[in-house]
Amino acid sequence: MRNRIFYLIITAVLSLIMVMGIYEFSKSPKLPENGFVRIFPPHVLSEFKIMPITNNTNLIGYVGDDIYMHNAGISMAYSVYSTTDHETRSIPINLLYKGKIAWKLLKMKVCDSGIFMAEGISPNIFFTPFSSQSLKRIAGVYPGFMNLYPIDSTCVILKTYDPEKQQSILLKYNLHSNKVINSPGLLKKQVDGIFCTEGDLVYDPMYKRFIYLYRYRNEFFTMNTDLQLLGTGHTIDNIQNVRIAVGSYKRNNQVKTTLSSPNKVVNVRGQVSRNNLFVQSAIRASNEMPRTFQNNTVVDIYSLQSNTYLYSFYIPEYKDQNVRDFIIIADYLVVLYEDHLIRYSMNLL
Amino acid sequence: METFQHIKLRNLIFEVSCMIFILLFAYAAVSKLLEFDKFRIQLTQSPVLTSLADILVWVIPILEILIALALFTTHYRLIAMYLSFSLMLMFTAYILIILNLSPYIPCSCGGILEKLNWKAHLVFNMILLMISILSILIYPKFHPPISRNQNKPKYYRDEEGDTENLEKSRYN
Repeated sequence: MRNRIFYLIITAVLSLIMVMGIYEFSKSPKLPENGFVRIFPPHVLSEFKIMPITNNTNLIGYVGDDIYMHNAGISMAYSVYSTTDHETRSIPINLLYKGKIAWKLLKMKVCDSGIFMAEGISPNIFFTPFSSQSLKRIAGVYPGFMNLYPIDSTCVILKTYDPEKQQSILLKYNLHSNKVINSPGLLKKQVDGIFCTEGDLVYDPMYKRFIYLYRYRNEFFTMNTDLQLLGTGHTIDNIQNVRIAVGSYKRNNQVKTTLSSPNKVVNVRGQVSRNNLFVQSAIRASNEMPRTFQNNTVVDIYSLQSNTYLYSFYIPEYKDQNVRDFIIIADYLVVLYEDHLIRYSMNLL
Repeated sequence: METFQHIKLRNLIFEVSCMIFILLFAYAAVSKLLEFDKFRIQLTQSPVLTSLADILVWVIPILEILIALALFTTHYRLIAMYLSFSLMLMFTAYILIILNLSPYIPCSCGGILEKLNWKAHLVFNMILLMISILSILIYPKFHPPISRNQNKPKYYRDEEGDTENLEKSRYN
């Protein structure tokens, strides 16, 4: 009897040491090179509602509970999807400008005060408040830009090329006074200055700040609307340095620059909601099955308070269609598929 | 005073516990292997086991099957009962970690005992843990060949290791 009690105690101690060992290991797992682990709490997405939409629709932003969409094929209208009512309505707009426009590059963006339509080649910026339906050209546009991100009807953030620094930069531009607030140190060049600094600029209307999420490296930073850096953070994968190579070739006496390596995207797109950053990642974690990763879209959530990783969840495919874009409003995750819009209810921890 | 009836009763209790554990482990292992992908996803969802999911997805059902098989044999059943105790203790400790130390509680849907929540699972494990401890403590040191050959003398090894012929002993 005494022997058995002794053996039982030894067995119990060894078992508990093993479980505690596993628990300790789970906090700092040893992983293969470039390995990382995602945490998947269950039931993040619960019920969903489906809304059929036309092909080639893009999400152009949100205001309040409404998501704005624009169809590249039907350029002179936009539609509004109400997340609370699960309904869409289409609104026609006119563009009265007769000058030169690079139509293919025209992109619509929404901010609290109205709708912007812009392209940076000609360049042209058009604006209409929600009360009106005709886009008016804004005079005195900054010469040449790649992307426009509106703050309000008078101020925008432009991503443009700085020939001196030979890289992309972000600048704040006042459309009325034509004043530029330049902040050249924000985008960090690693390879060529253009491709390596590519990324998604997300506006957080609640805290009035921007988050720039690099596309080819595991980094993001937050800044206020005057382009002052507030903080930086890293996404959970280990791709700190851009893994792309850039090559150039001559065509019609013009030097064309392009990627000359497989395109190693890290962060596909980002969204902000309630002090959390949602990042669609293209990198599989060590604890994810290749098939699950391939058939779903993984979204990682980061706290913007501490700039740390919280956990992840999957957005499933719908009718073999992949996620094209998503927006988060309150407890809803609205996902854009090829010809469907699905509103999921989210249960965050 | 140890009687032959006592030994038979101890044996009976041990046999019943063996049956309980064989049923439990066989059911648990088969249900895991039948829904292998689901089990794997459940492991990856666990905040504690996610980085070991690739190994544990095989180790746990194989261990359960081996223990269930060992519980059938006369030679290894005591060792198997120690292993059952160890496994039940590990499961219980895991549930306690999940309930108290983990950042979130994964769902207990699927797998064994689908209807139980984590607290009920904990109670269930505790009961099985008690059964395994009791079985180990009462298991007779010598397993008498009760029915095989009536002509052979039946022995019982006492605490000091001396053997007694039960049929001729004073206990009978």
